[in-house]
Amino acid sequence: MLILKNCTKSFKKTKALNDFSCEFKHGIYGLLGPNGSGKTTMMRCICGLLSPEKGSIECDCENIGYLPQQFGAMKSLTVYETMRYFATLKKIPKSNQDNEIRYCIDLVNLSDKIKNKVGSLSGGMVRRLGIAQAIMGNPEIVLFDEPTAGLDPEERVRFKSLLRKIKNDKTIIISTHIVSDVKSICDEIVIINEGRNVVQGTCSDITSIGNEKVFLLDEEYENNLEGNYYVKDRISKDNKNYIIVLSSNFIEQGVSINADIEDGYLCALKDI
Amino acid sequence: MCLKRYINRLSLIQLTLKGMGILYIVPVVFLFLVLPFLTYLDFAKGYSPEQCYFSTYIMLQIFCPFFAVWWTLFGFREYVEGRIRELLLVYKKSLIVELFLVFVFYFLHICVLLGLYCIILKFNYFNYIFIFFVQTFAFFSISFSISIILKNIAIPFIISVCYEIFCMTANIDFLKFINMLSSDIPSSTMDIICPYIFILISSIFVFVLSNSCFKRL
Repeated sequence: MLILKNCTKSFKKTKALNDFSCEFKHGIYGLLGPNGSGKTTMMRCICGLLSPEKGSIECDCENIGYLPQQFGAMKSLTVYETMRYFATLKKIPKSNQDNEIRYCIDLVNLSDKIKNKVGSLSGGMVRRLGIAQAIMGNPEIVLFDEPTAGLDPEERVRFKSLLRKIKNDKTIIISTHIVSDVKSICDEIVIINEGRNVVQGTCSDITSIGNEKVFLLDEEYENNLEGNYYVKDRISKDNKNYIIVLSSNFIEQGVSINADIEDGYLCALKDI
Repeated sequence: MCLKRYINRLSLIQLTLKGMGILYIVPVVFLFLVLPFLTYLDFAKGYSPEQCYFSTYIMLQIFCPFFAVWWTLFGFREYVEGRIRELLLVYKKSLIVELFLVFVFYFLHICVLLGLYCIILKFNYFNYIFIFFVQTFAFFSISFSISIILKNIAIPFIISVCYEIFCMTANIDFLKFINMLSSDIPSSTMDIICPYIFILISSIFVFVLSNSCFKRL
């Protein structure tokens, strides 16, 4: 169980976390928010890299796995040696290290590169190595900061199935701004903006925020829109241009369409 | 349990030094190839054994302390300025033991070198081991602290090079108080202990203090 209570953390005049409260039980949590919303600061506070000026973080476990946004490794070491380095840092008993390393390397599909130097790996492979070190040692809390950045579609799918495989009795927090990354795997989503917890709920809870707020209408009506609205997309069909608009007001000229999780996220973020 | 912890630490150090790649061997090459070669050149020039003894004493002071900087900065580079720094700080809150073990490992190289010189030149350089120890530790600790404060390894390295050049060239009396290298062979134990004990205490203080700064992101 991980509880953040009224956490505030500032950098000069910017409040990266602003009275942020959240509770994480076992399961996979998606931390969604735009760039600069405080996701990374929150993760750094959880793993002890930063301490909040106000508020508290209650955590009943010490074993944390972490994948930072920027992950690199010593280029002269092989994949196996790098994993051994992290296994030693994580104080995994020497007798278990080999099995643990091979298991995690296999999970991220790097077994055939185990003897390769890190310097010879592609960016996506280094990212996978980062994922492997984060899950090594069976940590109770795993924090992934933008884990899928740089992964190809096949590896993204593999990452999602990896999460399903390891999720038992764990709290996994994935920070991202890519909504599609979290919708199929997360038990709950936390939307963070300007350092605040905007909303927390299941995928269907988030989707329901956008219900009856998504409209498809002719582009020429765009100038007539009033109130709080957001143009989500522009599409062309049969030589006509349309826009998809999120609006809290009913738009008579438009057709109401089904909301997806992205619409719910945008509505929560834009206060629509 | 304690032994296991130290074995863990030694394996971490082994991987850290391995992670340096080819850079690892530079101090070893200087200590065991370049320095003996310079001594050989002195012999070849026709220096007397006493002159060789003195010249080697000066060269040992020039090379041995300086290369303590090498493994400290390049070995622990990732902890200071690398992309992996953030992650390493999560798993490792202090580097004090690992760094000290690296220092001890480096100083063992110096001891071996002094032993070889004792056998070859028949002069006992171990009489001045305290001086070499303090000078080496000072370079090691100051370079580490500057790198931690500036989160950069290039500047402490350049500072070390500049200070080394200064020490080699500054023989003016009023500059000697900041010159760590001794241009004379000390004649008594007090000559060895007095000026260097202060440097040693300050270096230990700086080392411990910079380790506490290390924990900050």
